[in-house]
Amino acid sequence: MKKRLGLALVSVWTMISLVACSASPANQTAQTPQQPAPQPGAGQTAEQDNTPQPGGVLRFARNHDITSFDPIIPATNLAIWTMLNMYDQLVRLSPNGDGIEPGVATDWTISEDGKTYVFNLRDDVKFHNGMPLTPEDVKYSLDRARGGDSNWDWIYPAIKSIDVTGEHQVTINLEAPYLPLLSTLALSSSSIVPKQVVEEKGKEFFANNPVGSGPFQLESWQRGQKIVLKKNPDYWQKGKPYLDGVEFVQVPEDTAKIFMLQAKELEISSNVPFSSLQQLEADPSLNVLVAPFARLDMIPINSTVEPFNDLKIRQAMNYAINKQEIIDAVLMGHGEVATSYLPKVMYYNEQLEGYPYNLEKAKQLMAESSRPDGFKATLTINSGSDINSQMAVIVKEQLKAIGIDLEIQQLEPGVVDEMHSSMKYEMITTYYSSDIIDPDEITMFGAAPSGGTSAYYTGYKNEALDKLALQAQQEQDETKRKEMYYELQRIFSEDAPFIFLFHTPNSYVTQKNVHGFQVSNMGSYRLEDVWLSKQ
Amino acid sequence: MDIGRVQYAVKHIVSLVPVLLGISIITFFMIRLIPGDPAQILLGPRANPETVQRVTERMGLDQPLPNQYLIYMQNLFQGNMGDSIIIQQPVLTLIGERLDVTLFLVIYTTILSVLISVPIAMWSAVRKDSLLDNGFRAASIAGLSMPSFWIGILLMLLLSIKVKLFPVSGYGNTFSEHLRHLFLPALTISFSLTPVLIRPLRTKIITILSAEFVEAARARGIKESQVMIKHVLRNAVLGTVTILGVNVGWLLGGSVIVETVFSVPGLGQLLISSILTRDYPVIQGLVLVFAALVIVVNLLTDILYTILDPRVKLE
Repeated sequence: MKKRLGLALVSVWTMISLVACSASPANQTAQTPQQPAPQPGAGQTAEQDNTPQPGGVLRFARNHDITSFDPIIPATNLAIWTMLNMYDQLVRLSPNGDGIEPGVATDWTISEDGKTYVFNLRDDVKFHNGMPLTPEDVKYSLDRARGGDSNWDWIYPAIKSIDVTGEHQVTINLEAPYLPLLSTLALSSSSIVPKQVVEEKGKEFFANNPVGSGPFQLESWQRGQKIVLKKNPDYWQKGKPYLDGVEFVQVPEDTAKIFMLQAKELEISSNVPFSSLQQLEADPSLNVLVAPFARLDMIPINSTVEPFNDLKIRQAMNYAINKQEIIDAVLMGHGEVATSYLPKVMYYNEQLEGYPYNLEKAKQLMAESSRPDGFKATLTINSGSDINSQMAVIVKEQLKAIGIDLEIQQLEPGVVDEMHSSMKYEMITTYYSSDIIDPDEITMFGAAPSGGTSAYYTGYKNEALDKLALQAQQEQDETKRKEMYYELQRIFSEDAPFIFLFHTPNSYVTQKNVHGFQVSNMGSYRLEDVWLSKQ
Repeated sequence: MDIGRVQYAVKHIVSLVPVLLGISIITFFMIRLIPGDPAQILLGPRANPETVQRVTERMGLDQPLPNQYLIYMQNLFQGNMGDSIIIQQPVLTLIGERLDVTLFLVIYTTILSVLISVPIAMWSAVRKDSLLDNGFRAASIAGLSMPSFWIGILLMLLLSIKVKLFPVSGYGNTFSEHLRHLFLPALTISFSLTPVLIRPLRTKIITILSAEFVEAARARGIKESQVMIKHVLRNAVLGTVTILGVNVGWLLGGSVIVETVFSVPGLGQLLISSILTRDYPVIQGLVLVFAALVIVVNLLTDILYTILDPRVKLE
C-alpha cells in the first residue's frame, strides 16, 4: 500500500518540481567527492572558518526506525550505522572506509602463524554509566557476538578462544589463520558492551536501554518517530563529539524529506531520490553528497531452472543489457557498472571487463544456446522500489532484442525476499552490501556455493571457486591473497550466476552549515566529527 | 442517561465480543496465509538459513498454526496482546504510545470538518442555485475526487514552504503544538470528508426551510439567526451525526495514508510498517483496536442521536 503511494508521491513531486523550478540551471549534476574529503569541513565554501564549533543538535532524517540497540541483534544498515556512533569496538573503520585504525585497542600484534592476535587496550575508556571498560568486557562482548543469542555468529567462524592476558590486554586465538578478522572486529556486532549491565539487567532490557562507550548515548527513543542521542561528555577522544546531540527522525516519504529540508526542519536527510538531487543542488542553502557505497545491485538467475542452467543463456543476457543506459535513466547517472559479484571493497578488480553491452555477441550466444528461438521468463521485482520498476521496463525491452519475452511480476519486498531465499523464482531484482572492507563476507555469502546461501540462492555450483574462497580466507601473503580474489571475481563473472548491474551510491542532502559529515564506503558515518556553524 | 440507553449500550458492548472474536480469527489466519517470513525480513537478505531457522523458533513461529492461535487467544483473554516479534515490545505499549495521536487526529478532523461544512451548507441552502452554491458544489466534487496524499503535498508546499505557517511533519509535545502540527493533516482529511457532509446537510436544510414550523417560528417574530440555529440546524444536523458515525472507519483508514505523508507517529504508520515486516502480533492488535473503535463510535452515534432527537427510541 505504501509502495504505490511512494511511487505516486514521486511522480507528483516530479510534476511540482517541473512547474515550480523551471529555472534550475542545467549540468549541475551533483558529483560530490569520489574520494571523500580528507578533513572535516573540506568541500565547504572557502571563506568559512574551518575550526569546529561545539554545540547544536543534528536532526537527521532516515527512512526507517531500528528495532534494537543490542549490537548482536539487528542486521539492517540503519541499525549498524546508528550503533557505530554509540559503541566502541577494538578497531574501527577509517573515516572514508579504506582501512582499519585503532579503536579501544591502541595497537595489536599478529603472530607469525597468523593464529594469535594480541590487542593492547586504552585505559581511559568509560561506559556511559561511568564504569571503566575492561578486557573482561571485551571478552564477554565478543564471546556473546559469536554465541547462540547472536544473529551475527556466522561472521566469526575461525575464533577458538578469547582470553584476557593482561590488565589492558586481550588475546584472540584462531583455529586457523583468518585474514578478515580485523575487518570483522570493526563491525557493530563486535561492539563492546558492559558485562555487568547485560548480565544483571538481561538482554531484553539492554536492547532498549543500551550502554556503550561511544561518542553518543541514548537519551530517548520514540519508536517509529525518532531516536534522540546526547553527547557522551567522557568520550575518550577529547573534545569530541562537537554536537550536543543527534536526532534520527523517521521520514519514510521522499517528498516530506525534501520539504523538511527546505523548511529547515532537518540538517541532514539520507536516501534523497536521485531524481531530485539536481534541483536541490540549485538551492543555495543545501549541499548534496553522493557517497560511493559497497553495494552491488544485480539480478540473480535461478540456475536450477531451465533454461537458466545453460551458461550461454546467462552470458547472453549479461551482454544484452546496457547497464550504463540503466544508470543514466534510473540513477540519473549516479552509479558505476558492475562486472562481478564483489562490491567496491578491498581487492575489487577494477580491470575486470565483465559484460560490456554487445548485442551481436548476445545474439550469437543465444543462437548457440539450448533455446536459439528465445523463451518466456518471469522477472520478479520489489514493488516498493521505483528504481526497480523503472529498471525492469528497460531490462524487458533490452532482453526482447535477443528473443527473451520477460513478464514482470511486482510483489511486496517481504514476499520477494522469501521467493528469493526459497529459490522459487526465475530472475529477481535485489542487492547486497558489504559490512566489512574485507572481501570475505560477500565472497562467502554471495558467491561461494557452500557459503550457506548457495551463491545468493542461485543454485550455482563450482567446487574450484568454493575451495579458492576458503583458501583466500587463510592466505597471509597480501599479494597472493589479492590475486585469489581477482581470480574469484573472474571465475564468477564468467559463470554469470547473476546479471551484474551496478553499484548504487548513497545520497545525502545537508544544510550548508553542516560540516565534517563524511560517509564511508560501508555507508557508516562518524557523527563525532560533525559540527554546525551558525547560519 | 436513562435506563433504556444504558441497557442498549450494555447489550451492544456484549455483542461486541463475538464480532471481535470473528475479526481476530480472520486476521490471524489471513496475515499468515500471505507469503513473507518475519524472520527473513528481520534478518534481511544477508542472513543464512540456519540463523533464519533459529530466529523463527525464537519467535515461536515454528509451532503449528492452531497452537499459535490458542496461545494468542489465551493471552488475549488475560488482556495481553502479545509482544511484537520484530520490535520485541508489548503490543499494548506500542499501541498505547500511538493511540492518542491517531485519536487526536481523528477528532481534530471531525471538528474541523463540521466547522467547515455547517456554514457552507447553510450558505448554499439559503442561496440555493446561486453562483456561490454552484461554486461550492464544484469545489466539493473536486475535493472528493483528489487523492488525499496529493492534497497533503499541495498544502505542505503552500502553507509550510511558501508561507511558513505550519511545520511539515511531526506531532509536537504540548497541546498547542499538537494543534499546530496536526492542522495540515486534519485539513487534508477534511478535504474529502466535508463534501460528504455538505451535500446531505444542504438538502436537509432546504427541506426544513420550507417546513411549516419554520414559517411559524418566523411568524412569531423570532430573529432569523435564531430560527436558523434553533429550528433549522438542530433538525438538519441529525443526519450529519449519522454520516460522521458511519464514516469513522473510513476516517481511520484515511489517517493511515495522511500519517505517512506528514510523518505523524500514529497508529497508521505503525500499521504500515508492521504489515511490511509481517509483525503478526502488532497487525492483529491494531486490527482489533480499529474494529473496536468503529463499533464503539457507532454505538455512541446511536446514543447521541437519541439525545439530539428525543423522538428516536433505541431498541
